[in-house]
Amino acid sequence: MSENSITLLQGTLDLLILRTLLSSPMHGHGITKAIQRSSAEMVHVEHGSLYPALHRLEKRGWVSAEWKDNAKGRPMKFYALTAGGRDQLAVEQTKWEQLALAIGLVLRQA
Amino acid sequence: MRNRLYRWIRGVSDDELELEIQSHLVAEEEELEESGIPVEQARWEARRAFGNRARVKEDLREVWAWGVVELWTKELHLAGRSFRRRPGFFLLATMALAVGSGAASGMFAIVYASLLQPLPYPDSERIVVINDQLVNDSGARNLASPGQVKAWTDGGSSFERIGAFTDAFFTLTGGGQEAERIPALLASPGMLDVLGARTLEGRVLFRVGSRGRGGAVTCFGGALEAAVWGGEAKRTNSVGGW
Repeated sequence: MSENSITLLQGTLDLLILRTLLSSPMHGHGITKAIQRSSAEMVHVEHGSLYPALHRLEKRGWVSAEWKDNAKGRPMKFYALTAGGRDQLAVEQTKWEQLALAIGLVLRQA
Repeated sequence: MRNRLYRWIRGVSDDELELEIQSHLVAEEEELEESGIPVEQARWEARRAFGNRARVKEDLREVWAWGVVELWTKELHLAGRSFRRRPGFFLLATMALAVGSGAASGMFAIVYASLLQPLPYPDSERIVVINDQLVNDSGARNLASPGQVKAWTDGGSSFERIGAFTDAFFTLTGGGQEAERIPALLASPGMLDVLGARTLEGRVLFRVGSRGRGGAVTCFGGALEAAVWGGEAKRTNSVGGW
C-alpha cells in the first residue's frame, strides 16, 4: 500500500463496489483491482472488508453471485449488479455527492 | 429469486467460503507471479495481503447468520454441549425458562380474555358498562334504581340503547334431579337489544309488561340447556327462588 493511500470512509465501500460492477460482472479479486485502478492506486480495499461487503450486498439482493470459470479456466465467484442494485447505486451516489458538496462548502467557508 | 430464497434458508457453507477465499488467493498469486515475483514469495505475499482468513470467514458467516437451518443447528449444538458440561445448571435454566414462559403465557391468556378479546357481540367495541358509584372512599358500586336507569335512558342521547342488569342466583329444580343453584343475571328488556343478541328458540324478552314476577321471562344459555336438558329444552323444569 502506497503512502498516498486513503482510508475509506465507513459506508463508502458498498458504493464503490456497486459502481465497479456497473460495467460488468466481476469476482472479488477483480473488484479490488478495478477499484485500485480507478482511484489511481489511492484506494486499496482490504480483503477482510471486501468479502463481507459483497455477501451483504448479495443478501440484500443488490448483487447476484454465480460461480463461473475465469479466463484461465479456474472457478471463481462472479458478482453482477441487479436491477435493485442499480437503483441503490443511484441513491448512494446522490447521497455521496450531496455529502461531498456539503463538506466542501464547510471547508471553503470564509 | 429462488437462489436468494435458498440462501436465506440455508445460509452459506464453509466449503463455499473457503473456495471463494482460495480462488481469490490463487488469482492474487498468479498476478504477482506474472509481475516477476517468485512462486513462494508470491504465495506468501498473497496470504499476507489477504490477512486473517479465519476472521474473514467468521465475518462472512455473520452476514448469513440468519440462515434458519444454520442458526438452529448452532443453537442445538450449543445446547447439547452445555447439557453435557453442566447438566444441573442446564436443567435449572430450562426449568426457569419453562416457568417463565408458562407464567407469561398464563398472564397473556388472562389479559387477552379479560381485556383484549372482543366480546362475542356485534359492534362490541361500542358496548360500555355504566356504574353508579357511592361518593365515599370505599369506591363501592351502588345498584342503580329502575328510576335512575329510566332517567339515563330518557335523559340523554349519548347511548343508542341502555339495558340494566345485576347479578343473581336462581334455583333450578325439577326433572327428578336435585335442586341446583345456578348463577344468573336479572336483566331489563333492553339488554338483548344492547348486546345485539337473539334467542335461538322462543320469544325474546318482553318490551312491556315485564315488570314483576308475572311478566318475567327466563333465557337459558346454550351451555346450561345442553347440561341440564341434553340440548333439548323441556318444560318440566322450573327456575325460581329469587
